[in-house]
Amino acid sequence: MMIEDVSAWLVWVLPLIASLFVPLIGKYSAKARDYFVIAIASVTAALALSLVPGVIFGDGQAKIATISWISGLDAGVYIDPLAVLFTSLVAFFGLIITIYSLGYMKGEEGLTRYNYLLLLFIGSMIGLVLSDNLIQMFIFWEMVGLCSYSLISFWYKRPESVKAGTKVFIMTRIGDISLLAAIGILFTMFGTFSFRGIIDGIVLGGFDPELMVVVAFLVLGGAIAKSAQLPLFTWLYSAMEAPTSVSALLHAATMVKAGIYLLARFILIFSVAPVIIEALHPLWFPIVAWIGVLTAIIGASLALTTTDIKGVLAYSTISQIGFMMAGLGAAVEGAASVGWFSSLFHMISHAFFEGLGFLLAGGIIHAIGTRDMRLMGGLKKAMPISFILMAIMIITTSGLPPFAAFFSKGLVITSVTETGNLIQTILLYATAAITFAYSIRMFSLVFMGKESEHIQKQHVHESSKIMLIPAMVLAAFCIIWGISQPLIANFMHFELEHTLIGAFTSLETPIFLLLLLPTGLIAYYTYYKNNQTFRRVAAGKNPLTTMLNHAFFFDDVYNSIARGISKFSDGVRHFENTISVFPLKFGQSVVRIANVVHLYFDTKAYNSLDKLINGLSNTTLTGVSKMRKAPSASLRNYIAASVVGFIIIAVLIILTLGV
Amino acid sequence: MDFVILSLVMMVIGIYGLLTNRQLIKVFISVELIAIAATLNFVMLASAMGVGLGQAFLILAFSTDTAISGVILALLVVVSKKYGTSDIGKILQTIKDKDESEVEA
Repeated sequence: MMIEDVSAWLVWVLPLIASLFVPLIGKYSAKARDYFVIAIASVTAALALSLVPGVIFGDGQAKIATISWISGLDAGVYIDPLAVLFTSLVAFFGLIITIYSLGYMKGEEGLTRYNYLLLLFIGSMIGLVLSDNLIQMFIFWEMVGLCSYSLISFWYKRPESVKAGTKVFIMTRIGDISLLAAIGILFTMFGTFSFRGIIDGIVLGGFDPELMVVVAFLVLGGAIAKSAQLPLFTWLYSAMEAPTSVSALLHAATMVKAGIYLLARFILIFSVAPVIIEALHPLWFPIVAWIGVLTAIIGASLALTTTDIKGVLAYSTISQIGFMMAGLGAAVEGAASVGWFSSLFHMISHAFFEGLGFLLAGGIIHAIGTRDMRLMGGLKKAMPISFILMAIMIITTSGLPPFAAFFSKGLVITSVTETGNLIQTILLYATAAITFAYSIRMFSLVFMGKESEHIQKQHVHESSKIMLIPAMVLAAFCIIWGISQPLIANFMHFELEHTLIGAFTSLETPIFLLLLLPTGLIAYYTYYKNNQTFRRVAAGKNPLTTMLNHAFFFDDVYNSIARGISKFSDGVRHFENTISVFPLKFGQSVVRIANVVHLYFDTKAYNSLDKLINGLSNTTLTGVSKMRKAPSASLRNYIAASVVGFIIIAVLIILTLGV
Repeated sequence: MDFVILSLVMMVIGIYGLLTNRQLIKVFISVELIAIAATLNFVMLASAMGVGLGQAFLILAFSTDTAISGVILALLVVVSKKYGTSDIGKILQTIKDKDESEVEA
C-alpha cells in the first residue's frame, strides 16, 4: 500500500526532476549523460511496473493520494486500472526509445537538449495519466504539447522542421481551448477540479445532463486535436519532420494517445450516472463513432499514395486511432461496454506495431539517407533482420491471425457491429482491407524488387544492434500480445464476454480474411509484381488520385482560412491607416485655413484696417492736443455742463420712478 | 462587472493590435495587453467568489508573465538585429526570398 503510493508519485516526478539534471551532466560528459537518461528511464519503467500488482489484486476502484498544493486545490495521483495501463505503456516505451536513440541519434548535435526533452516528455505524459484533478491534468496536457513541439522542430536549422513544429503547436492549441472550456464548465457545476469530487457530485445529482453533453463535446474537441482525428488530423503527417525516434514515441505512447486517454477517462466518469450516458446517446456517441470511422478510412486511403516511408506510418496511425475512436463511440453503455475495452486494447497493440514500424523505418532512413520510397527497393538482401521484423509488423498491422491486431481490431469491429450500425461496420471492414493493401505496398516498395540506383550507389548495412534489439522486443510483443487479451481484461477488472477462441470461430473472421484478399492482390500485383497497367492507373491523373495527392484538400482549406485571416487583418490595417489619416488631415486643413485667413488679413485687409485705426488714433490725438490747448479756467462751461447733466438725470429719475 | 468589461475591452484592443500591427514591439505590447486582461479577470472573479485560489494563481501568472516577457524581449532584440528591421512583413519577405534562392541554388 505504502510502496504503491510512493511509486505512483515517483514515477512521474522522477523523470521531470531528472530532466533538469541532464544539461548539467551533459556538460560533464556525453557518455555519462546517455547512461543517466537510460538509468532514469529504466527506474521509471520499474516504478510503473510496481504499480501493476496493486491493480491486479485490487478491487478495480481508484486509489487517491493527495498533498495540499494551492489553497483550495490539492495535487495528487489517481491510481486506477486505466491510469496504470497508460503509465506502464508510456514508461515501457520511454525505455525502448531512450535505448534506441542511443543508436539512431549518434553523432547528432544538440543531444543534451534532445535527452532533456525526451525525459520531460515521458514525465509529463505519465503525469497526465496519473493526475487526480483537471488542472494538474491540463498543465501536463500542455507540457506534452510543448515537448512534442520542441522535439518535432528538433532540427531547428531546417525550415520544414520549424514549420511542422509550429503547425503542430497551433493545431493542437485549438483542442486545448476546447478542453479548458470543458474544465471551466465542470468547475462551475461541481465547484471542484478533482475527479473524485466530480464523481461524488455526479452521484449526488444536482447537475444538468444537457450541460454535461456540452462538456462531452468540448472534451471531444480536445481529444480530436490531440489525437489527430478528422478534421484536425493533418498535423500528424507534418510531424514526420521529427527525428524518427521521436515519431515512434509520439505515435506509440505519448502525444496522440493523450486524446484517447482523455475520452476513456471521461466515459469512465460519465458512466457513474446512467442519466448522462442516456443524454449522450442521441448525438455524442454517434458523432464519436463517425469521426473515428471516417478518419480510419481517410487515413488508410492516404497511406496508399504517399511516397514518404514515415508518411505511410503516420497515416497508418491516424487510421488506427480512428479505429480506437470508433470503439469509444461504440461504448454506448459507458465503460462497461466492449467498445471501451476494445479501444484501449487496440491502443496498446497499435503502440507495439506502430512503434516497431517506426523503429525499422528509422533504421532504413539511417542506412540509406532518404525517406522517399521511390528511391528504395530490394533492401531484403542488405537488411535481412529488418526485413523479417517488418514482415511481422505488416502482418500485425493488417490484422492477420494470430498476431496482436487480429484480436484488438477484431474486437473493435465486433463492438461497432453490436451497436447495429451497418454502414460503419462496412466502412471499418473496407479500412481493414485498405490497411492490408498499403502495408503490402510499403513492404514491396522498400524490401522487394531490384535494388534501386540510389541504393547501389552506397554501401547499405544492417542497423546496429542497439537499434535492432528494441525493435525485436516490440516484435515479440506484436506476436504474443493478442493472446494476453483475457489477462488485460482481468487487469482492467472488465468482464469480457468475447473469448479468444470465439474470435477464431466467429463468422466475422472468414469474412474479414476474404475481404483482405482483393485489395491485397491488387497491391501485390501493382507493387510486388510491378504490373504496368496497375501502376499506370495508380500514377495517372484522375479525380481520386488528385484527391489523395492533396490529402482531401484539408490543408488547402486551412491554408486559405489562415490566408483569409491575414488578409482580413491586412484590410483592417489599411482601414486603420486611412482612418488615422483623418485627424491629421483635419489638423492640416485647420492650419491651412488659418494660413489663408492670416494671409488675407496680412496683405489685403491689413492696409484698410491700418488706415482706419491710424486715422482714428490720429484724430483722437489731434483732438486731445486741441483740448490741451483750450483755456483751462473756463469754469462756466463746466458748471453749465454739470447742470445740463443733472437736469437730464433728474428727468430720467422722475420718468422712471414716477416721483 | 465593470472589471469584466474593462478586461474585455483590453482584450479586444490587444487582439486588434495583434491583427493590425506589423512592428514586433507593438505585437508584443498587444500580447501583453491580452495577458493582463486575463490576469485582471482572474483576480476580479476570485475576489467576487471569495476564494484564495485566484489570488494564488495571480502571483503565479505574474511571475511567469515577467519571465516570458524577458525571453520575448531578448528574442525580439536578436531577431531585429539579425534582420535589421522589426517589421514582420519585411522579415517574412526576407525569409521567403532566402528559401527561394536556396531552392534555385
